[in-house]
Amino acid sequence: MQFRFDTLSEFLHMAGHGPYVWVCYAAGLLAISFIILGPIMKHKKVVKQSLQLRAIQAQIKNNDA
Amino acid sequence: MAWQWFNRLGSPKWFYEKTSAWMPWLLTLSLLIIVGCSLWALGFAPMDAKQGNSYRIMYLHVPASIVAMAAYYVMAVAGAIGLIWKMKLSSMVMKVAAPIGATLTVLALFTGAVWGKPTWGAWWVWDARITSVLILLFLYLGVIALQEAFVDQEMADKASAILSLVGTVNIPIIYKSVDWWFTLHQPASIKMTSSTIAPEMLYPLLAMIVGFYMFFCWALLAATRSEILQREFKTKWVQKILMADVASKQATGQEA
Repeated sequence: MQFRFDTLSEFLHMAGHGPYVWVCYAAGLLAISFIILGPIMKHKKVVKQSLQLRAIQAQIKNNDA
Repeated sequence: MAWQWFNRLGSPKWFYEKTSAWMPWLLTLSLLIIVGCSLWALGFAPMDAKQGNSYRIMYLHVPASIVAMAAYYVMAVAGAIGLIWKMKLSSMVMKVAAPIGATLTVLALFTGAVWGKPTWGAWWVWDARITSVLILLFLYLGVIALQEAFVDQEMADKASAILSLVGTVNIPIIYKSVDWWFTLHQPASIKMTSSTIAPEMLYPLLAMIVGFYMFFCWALLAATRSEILQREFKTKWVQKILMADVASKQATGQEA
């Protein structure tokens, strides 16, 4: 298996098709990052909700006391 | 006894605990495969005699399209199981499959459009394959919209399960569109018996498809897990997990 381009600029240019190819791989990176971030953000949101719930419960306890 | 696993699988707690150990491995391995195959596809695969370098887009376009369709099957089957057996976990899987599938469909359509410009001379044509994939995107968006439209989660699950089941008819249409209507999009290059693609071009493509499938598995599990935390929020075991998260965050915060 060999690298098919002689120089870095040839690799980036890809005989004129560079912009098409690279924009697609950038979109791929974006899509994958978006999919990865989804559950992480949701997890954070749920943790935050839980903290808020605890704070409210503590407040109610204080008021009662 | 034989059905015990089925009942267990329906338990969000059991599912959450069992999948915990796999998550980092699955993500790391799938990303390694995808990055490695991208390098292979971009720099090491030979140039196509007819299309030149633009064909390197295929290594992203084909796996994204295949998994976008597979995600629809998963969504529809999960929706059906949720509808018939009232399995909560299954409805969760259906819900979270929709945004993942929609993202992959957008990627497939976008890379297809960008590939079309240097190859066909047009960003978009109303070809049978492209149009049916656009319908796939609308079906995904429909399921997402239905999930948001109901206050009652059970109603939302029922409605979106029915929509995803009805939409299943589109999948064979997408698959067969290149054979039924011979328009612009080329027929499949990979077949079980004979592939019309050179081996040194085929291997990175097959590896990339495997990488995308693995990534999809991770994404589906991760999204289901976070959906479980949200829906089972009030249960003791979820609160325990969330509190452990807060504690570990505070501990690392103090160290920093």
